[in-house]
Amino acid sequence: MITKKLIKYLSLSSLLAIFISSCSPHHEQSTFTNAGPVAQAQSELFYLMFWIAGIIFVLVQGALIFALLNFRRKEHPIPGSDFKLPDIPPKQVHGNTKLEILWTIIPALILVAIAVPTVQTIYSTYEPPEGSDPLEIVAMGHQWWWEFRYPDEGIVTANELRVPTNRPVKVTLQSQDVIHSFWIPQVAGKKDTVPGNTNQMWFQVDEPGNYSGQCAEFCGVAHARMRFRVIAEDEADFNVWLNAMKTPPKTTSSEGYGLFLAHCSMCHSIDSYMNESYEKEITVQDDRWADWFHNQEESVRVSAPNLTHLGIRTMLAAGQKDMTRENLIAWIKDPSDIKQGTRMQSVATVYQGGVAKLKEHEVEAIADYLLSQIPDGWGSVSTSTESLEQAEVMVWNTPEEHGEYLFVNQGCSGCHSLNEDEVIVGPSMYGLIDRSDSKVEGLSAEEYIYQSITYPNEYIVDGYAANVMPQIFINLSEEELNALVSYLKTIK
Amino acid sequence: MTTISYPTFIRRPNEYVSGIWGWLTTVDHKKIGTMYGVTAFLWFIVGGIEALLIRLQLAQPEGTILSPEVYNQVFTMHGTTMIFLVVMPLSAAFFNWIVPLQIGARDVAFPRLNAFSFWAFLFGGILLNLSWLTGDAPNAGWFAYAPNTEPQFNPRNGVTYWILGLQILGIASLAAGFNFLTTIINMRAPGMSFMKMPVFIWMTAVVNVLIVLAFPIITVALIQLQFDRLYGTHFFNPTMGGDPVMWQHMFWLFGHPEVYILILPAMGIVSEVLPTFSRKPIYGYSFIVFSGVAIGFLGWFVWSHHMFTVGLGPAANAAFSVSTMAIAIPTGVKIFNWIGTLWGGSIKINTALLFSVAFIGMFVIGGLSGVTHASPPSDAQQQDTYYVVAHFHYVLFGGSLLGLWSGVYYWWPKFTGRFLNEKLGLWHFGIVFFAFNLTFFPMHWLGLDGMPRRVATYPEGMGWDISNLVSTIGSLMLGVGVLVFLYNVVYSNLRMPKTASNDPWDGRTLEWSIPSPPPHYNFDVIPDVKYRDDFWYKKYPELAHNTHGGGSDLESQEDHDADHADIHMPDPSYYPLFLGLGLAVMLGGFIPFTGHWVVCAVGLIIFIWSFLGWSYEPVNG
Repeated sequence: MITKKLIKYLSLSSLLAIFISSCSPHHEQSTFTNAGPVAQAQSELFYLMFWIAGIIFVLVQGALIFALLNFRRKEHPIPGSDFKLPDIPPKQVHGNTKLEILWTIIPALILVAIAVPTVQTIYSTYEPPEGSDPLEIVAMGHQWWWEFRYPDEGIVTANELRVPTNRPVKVTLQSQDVIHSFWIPQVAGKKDTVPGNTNQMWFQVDEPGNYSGQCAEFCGVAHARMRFRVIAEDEADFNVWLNAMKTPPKTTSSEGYGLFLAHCSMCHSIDSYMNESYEKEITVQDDRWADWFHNQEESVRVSAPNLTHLGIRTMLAAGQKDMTRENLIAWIKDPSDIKQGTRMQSVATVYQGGVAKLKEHEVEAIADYLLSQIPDGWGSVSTSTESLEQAEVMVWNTPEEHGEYLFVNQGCSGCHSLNEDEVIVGPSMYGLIDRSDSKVEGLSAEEYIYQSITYPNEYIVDGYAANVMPQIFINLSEEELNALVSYLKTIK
Repeated sequence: MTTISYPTFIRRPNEYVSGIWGWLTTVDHKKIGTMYGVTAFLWFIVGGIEALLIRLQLAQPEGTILSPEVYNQVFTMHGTTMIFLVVMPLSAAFFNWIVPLQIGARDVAFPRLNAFSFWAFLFGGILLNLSWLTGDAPNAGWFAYAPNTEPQFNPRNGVTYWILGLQILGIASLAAGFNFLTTIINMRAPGMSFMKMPVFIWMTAVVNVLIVLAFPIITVALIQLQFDRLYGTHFFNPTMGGDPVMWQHMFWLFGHPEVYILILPAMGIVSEVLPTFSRKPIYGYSFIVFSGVAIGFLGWFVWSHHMFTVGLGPAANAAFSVSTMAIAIPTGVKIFNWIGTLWGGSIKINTALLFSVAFIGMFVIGGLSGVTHASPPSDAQQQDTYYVVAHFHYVLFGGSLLGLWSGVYYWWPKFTGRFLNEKLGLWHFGIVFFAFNLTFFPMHWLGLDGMPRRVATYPEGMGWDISNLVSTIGSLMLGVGVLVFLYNVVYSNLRMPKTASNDPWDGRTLEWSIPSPPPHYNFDVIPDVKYRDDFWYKKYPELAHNTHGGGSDLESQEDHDADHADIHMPDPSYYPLFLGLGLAVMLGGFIPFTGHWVVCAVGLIIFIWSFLGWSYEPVNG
């Protein structure tokens, strides 16, 4: 009878297996669709236990149900009465030591059969195969997005991890804030990012494609919104991406660029293509974090995704939406509508107390600017370039006039007021010339202003933090920088 | 005899007062057990509503019934409530009612302490839930992982309510733990050696050893967390050199034995129900007892299986994996012995028995899925997914709760003198059993399909929609099942006559030898125990041949002098109530709301006053 049941069960579960294999490819986080050797090894262990457990399940439940049905009490009604005569007590069996030993030893042996491959797999999946040349990346968990660093390539990106296929990827796992867990179900089981600790894991993807990942450790209000995407490409395509990430973006003097610098650049870097930018980004990210962590009430910045070449990313807001102009505009306008709890809205001054204090066309300009961040020669991604086409040659009558344009256009006015004693983020520019010549010994007022624009960290005014001002204006031309200085001298 | 005058704070009620004062001042283990049961059931309704809110939110993708913040509060309080305010106190209700009756005692060792445990539990639960009124319920999960609970990430008061509520509940549990251990060790009827104790008493003993050893760990961890949150220490703050993983070790070093604190009482109940309704002794008594002890013991060496993905390294993961698998062995022994008990029996199928049998069936599922995440590589895919949610609901709902319900149907006639309606009982069982599986079985699939737990919502197109909807429908049906039970309780107690005899089930243990409900003093004469299942063999002496655990040398002992007039029962007292209240107010006063130190001081005054009153309370008569 038991064998009959077993056969019935086995055929049933093979149906289940067919069901699993036929359905799961559509499910992007299914642990049954293994896209790499680590997930494969983990799955094999699960299947081993699943079949053993399945057999035990059938035997135990079968015995239980059999006993329940077979040994029911037989009560004999007394004719002509409502009462029933209970049957006589059954044989009072107290146990059987041999049986006890048997059903102690057999499970123990079964567990040994599970424990041995378990321990083997623990060690075999712990490090990449010897002799392989793994790509090293750092995955940082942040509330509530993922930062991905390529230390050997000097690249920092976010929420979208590009990896080559058929090459092990060694992941160093870190966190700045709380514990998160890095998980790409189809590729590898999860491992936690623990602040203060550094964890290691590795994975390898066999086939090119997109793989969905998600934070698996409860990390606060937007935990459910902390997703990411792994894009696996063959080595050649991956190298194209690597090289593209190291090129500067198309230069632009659009309105969006200025608005971005004014409102977004305290937290979002866009310059991971520059020399030394990797080290700088890491330092600045730590500064942003420390700033917020120690002074949450007043901090105007917090660690945030690097947006270099955002135009080639496929998703936004940590895997929440497809990267389209419409979605990006909606995200910039009211981030909490897409990801409730995001610090983008609670920290950035432009959002104080609600949606972005920007006009419709300004939000669009920022979105267009960001979508235009595509490396030269990057293929097929099409974006709206409307506002870029508007760029026209401008003629300036005086350097001051040119400077005034740049002051707005390069975003200075987002943080620096022209009114006395008004602090937006940075110091007011009012009366700048009068206090500039005494700031740094050996620098004239003009030289001091020039230096503060190009190397803002050289001298920090009391009461303000370093690294808040973008270190990006060194890219301006000499003419533009001089124009800015000339303009700033006039503000009294 | 000279009269010593004590400073009396409140005159001790010197009679067995009835009515509301009778309940407030009672030190009777049966009344306290009833209060535990009723209170825990009320919290069960609260925790159940929280569960339904979770399920409604997740019924479909991008649910908007709860905001993410409120969702986090709801799932945190659901877990905390079900563990600390439902399953533990429901077990305590059975400990209270059954332990003295089964060991032939007239009360527990420390009756006033017993009352204090209840009041502290009640006020601790109220303090915890008061956080809802402030809009700041705890929101960091029942596991409260640092640094998400550190003030920088969680500046509002929710987690502080959680810490202090748990401290009070811990004190209640510790007091009860020592009480029941002392009772079991010291107050057994003459002749009842350890190996003649009913299995339920054994499991109670193991549970209370676990409570006594596990709760101090969480107490220390909670104090550290409280200091981190309120007084600027950095025990778990990595930015300042603290270690968040330390919290996990301490939490799970408590938390894993806690799992057995939740399941072993139900195992004890099942071990009483099956023999009674099979009319056979428990199969392999000593194996079932020692496997329970082994589970309790091994439970201390497995805590890091909750932390396989934290990065403890391959050696630690391998060691904790093997130790975890080892627990499956004594668990299996228990299950085989339960089936052995049914085998060849004369099984009376009724609600109580069905709940016990369902306990075994569901617990087997939970146990088997447990083995699949005892293996770290496999667990790497399962940790923090709905697969784990499915697993522990099969253990804690399919296990603990079904077992406790079995106990409710089994002992209800002893508690009240009335039967619970059998027809309604079968409906209750049927609906709950079906709905339970409908709710939690799809979660296995959801987890393996990549759905993490503790997510306030999930996107469309992940393939999770149907399973979640089915699960939600199941949870609503579960709610109906609970209502049927509630109706049964009300109906049976208002509409049904007191028909229960002393021994309605043809029981085996001492509680069935006394009236239903038992008199205040339980036993007219403290029984002499000769056999394991002594009452059964007194009824059927012809079956006593070759009985294991028989052959007592009691015959050679002197007859105990049974003098009815000599029954001495503890007097009621107000102080346990006030001591519990003072404790809760005092600890609640540490929560930093405006004027909290005044509240704390008031609590301290009540606490000291009732402490002294308790200490100086005279013994009447």
